[in-house]
Amino acid sequence: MSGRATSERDITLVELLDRVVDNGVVLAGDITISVADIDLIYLGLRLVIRSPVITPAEDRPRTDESSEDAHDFILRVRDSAGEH
Amino acid sequence: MTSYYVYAIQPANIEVPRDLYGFHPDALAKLCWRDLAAVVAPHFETDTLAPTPGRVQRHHEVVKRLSELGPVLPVRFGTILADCGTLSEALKRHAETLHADLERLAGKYEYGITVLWGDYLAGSDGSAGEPIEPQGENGRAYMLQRLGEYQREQRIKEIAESIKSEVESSLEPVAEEIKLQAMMRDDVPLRGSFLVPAEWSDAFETEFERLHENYKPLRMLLTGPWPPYSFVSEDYTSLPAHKVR
Repeated sequence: MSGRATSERDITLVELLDRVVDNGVVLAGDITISVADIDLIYLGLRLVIRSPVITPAEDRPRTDESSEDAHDFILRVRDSAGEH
Repeated sequence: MTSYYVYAIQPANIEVPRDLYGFHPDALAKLCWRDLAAVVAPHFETDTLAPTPGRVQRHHEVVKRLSELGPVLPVRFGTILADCGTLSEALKRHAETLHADLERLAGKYEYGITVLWGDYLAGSDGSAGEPIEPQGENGRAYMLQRLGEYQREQRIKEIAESIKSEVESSLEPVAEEIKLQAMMRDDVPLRGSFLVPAEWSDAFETEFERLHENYKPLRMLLTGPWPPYSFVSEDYTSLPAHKVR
């Protein structure tokens, strides 16, 4: 496999959310997540429309945001999309 | 009693790298039922789990790393099982489907394509690109305006369906399974996921580039290769999914 798509186009947060949060094996019926009343897929599509560009390295999700609320995250991503 | 957050399912004979961490402080481990293994981390939080970028990214990185070692089924974000017994029971209950999915999806990856209108409508034949401006205030003008809007919407739908057909027929030879949705939003004529065997990746990407070139005013976005998130069986999803708060 070439991996060309990953290196050239990278992975957007939107596509990530769409797959990781809304797809995959559902082993049990008790998954509970908080998305603060925001439709992730709708938001995701809006971001794609406004910001199809590759997420710059400095804007990529950090891994130390365990205390960050999903709502804050979504607002932050939305704001950054508006800059493009 | 310890709860477990589940990242993925894989064959039990594949070892989990010792240096592999998710978003939990403990290294990942596998809990097995016969020849199936759930890749897990002990989970002690009792609060609702929010899909922060850090957590979502780490979840994905775990699944991606595991997919480089062998067949893997991504488990949906937020899956927490109460204890070891509950997890074993879940593996046992879904064993047949899990086995079938591991076999079907082994060595295959997912690509995502999102198509945006860009300047395509304005540049195609002009008939669908411009919104209808009000022509006057009387009833006839109003009805004509509504008729014009309806005809424009129909034309846009037809164009979206034709793009869908073209994308499907072009990529069908280089993808094993395709999921497409046309016009899920007015501004997104097409979204799709494609299951592609690893050895077909180059051909798939080449065909995508050709397609993109042919539809140049359209904006076509390709992501991947991803682990096959969108192609696990729907048998699992007969269960209620997220309780979104």
